[in-house]
Amino acid sequence: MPTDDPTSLSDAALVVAISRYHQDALAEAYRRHGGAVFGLAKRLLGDAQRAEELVQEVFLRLWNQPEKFDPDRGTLRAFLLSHSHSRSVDVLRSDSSRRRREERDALRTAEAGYDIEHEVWDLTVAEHVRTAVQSLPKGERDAIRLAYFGGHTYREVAEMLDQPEGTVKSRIRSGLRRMRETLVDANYVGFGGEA
Amino acid sequence: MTHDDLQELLGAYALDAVDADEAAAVEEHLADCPRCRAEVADLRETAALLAHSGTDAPAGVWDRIAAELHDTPPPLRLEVRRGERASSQLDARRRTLQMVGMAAAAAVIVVLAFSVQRLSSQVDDLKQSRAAASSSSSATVELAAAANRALTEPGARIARLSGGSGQTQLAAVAVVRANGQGYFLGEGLPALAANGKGRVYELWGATESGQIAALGTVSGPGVWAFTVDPSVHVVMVTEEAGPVAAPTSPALVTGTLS
Repeated sequence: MPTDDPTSLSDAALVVAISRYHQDALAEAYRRHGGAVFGLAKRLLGDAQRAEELVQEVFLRLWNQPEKFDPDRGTLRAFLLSHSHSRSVDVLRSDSSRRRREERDALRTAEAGYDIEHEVWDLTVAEHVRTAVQSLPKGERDAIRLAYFGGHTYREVAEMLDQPEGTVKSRIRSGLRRMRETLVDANYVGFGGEA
Repeated sequence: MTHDDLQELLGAYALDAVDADEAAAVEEHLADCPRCRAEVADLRETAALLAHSGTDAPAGVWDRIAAELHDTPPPLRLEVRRGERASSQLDARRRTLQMVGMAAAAAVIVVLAFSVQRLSSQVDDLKQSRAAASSSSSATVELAAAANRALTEPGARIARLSGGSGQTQLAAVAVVRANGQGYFLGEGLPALAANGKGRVYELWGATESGQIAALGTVSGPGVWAFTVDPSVHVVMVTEEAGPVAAPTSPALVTGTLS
């Protein structure tokens, strides 16, 4: 398998090749998912240079600890994005970019008609994800957007939306579960680890 | 926090939207609760779809990553390779290695530990009886047969693992082929207590310099496939309350590859 052309390998097979020190497999994983990882980090951090540093960190971790990826738990892309998200949030919660971000988010919250669906880009899945997002009650949509793209805790989101913490906590979970149900029907989640 | 409280937090946790103390509480719970672990994985998968973007991977960053790869010597790497996918959804979602889960195999494989030479014919018998019993079990038979081939292969390193005290003497066998493909024959381990919620066996590899790394988590006696770094020369097994990063209890069985 490692001698195969990496572009023809599934994501799960790429990770096996990475675990055997095949740099071309890591390069292929980067080519496939580096853009999404960068896009999410930049969206959260609002700073291209810091997002690039974070992308570097995410892929070096894949190189050094490929066993952290479990193809039975989800796709490689979700794994990388999850790491990118949690590290971006760590950065946000620990430094001075926080205030700037909060100002920015406050502005966005006030914009009429602004919606999470504007964040969704990928052409192959955009339609289905958009449908799933649209099907959510507004309260769930707003809570998920502020938590995921704003990097806020649910407590902060509750304050921003002037809602009880318990309500926001529940809405994040129920909204994600509702989205998942819609997307399972469309075969975009729950299909294991292939590319 | 009750189970319901923790469950209610899973959505926020999956989006990294909880405080540090809540995150710690959820993580502690996840170690023991496969259902909640599966939910977090599902919710993260769903969240990741929101992040899909049309952006290309930034070109300059790859050059920096590649430069780091040259500068970093490869760390000790002991990678787990799962066996064939388990038939049930629950098993497929757990990070466990495939085992040969049947009483007949247990009998055969305990003998392996003491009588490698006789293994071949016994596994053939096993294969025949299993084929007759059920056509769907061919994957487990193949795993046992692959372990058999490895045991008789020139260049393979074999460790006879033993341990236990008093009346409970335990034995198991690990075999590692020259290419790093390993098999652990652990049918001789006692079944984990049904009420021991979340308890697992952890398989560890150690190098001569004393570095220890996890080879995998297994949910009971069985045969498992794994791959292992050539620098590993000792294999051991501990029983843990859940998946752990380093051994927290004494080895149940241990043995040296030679």
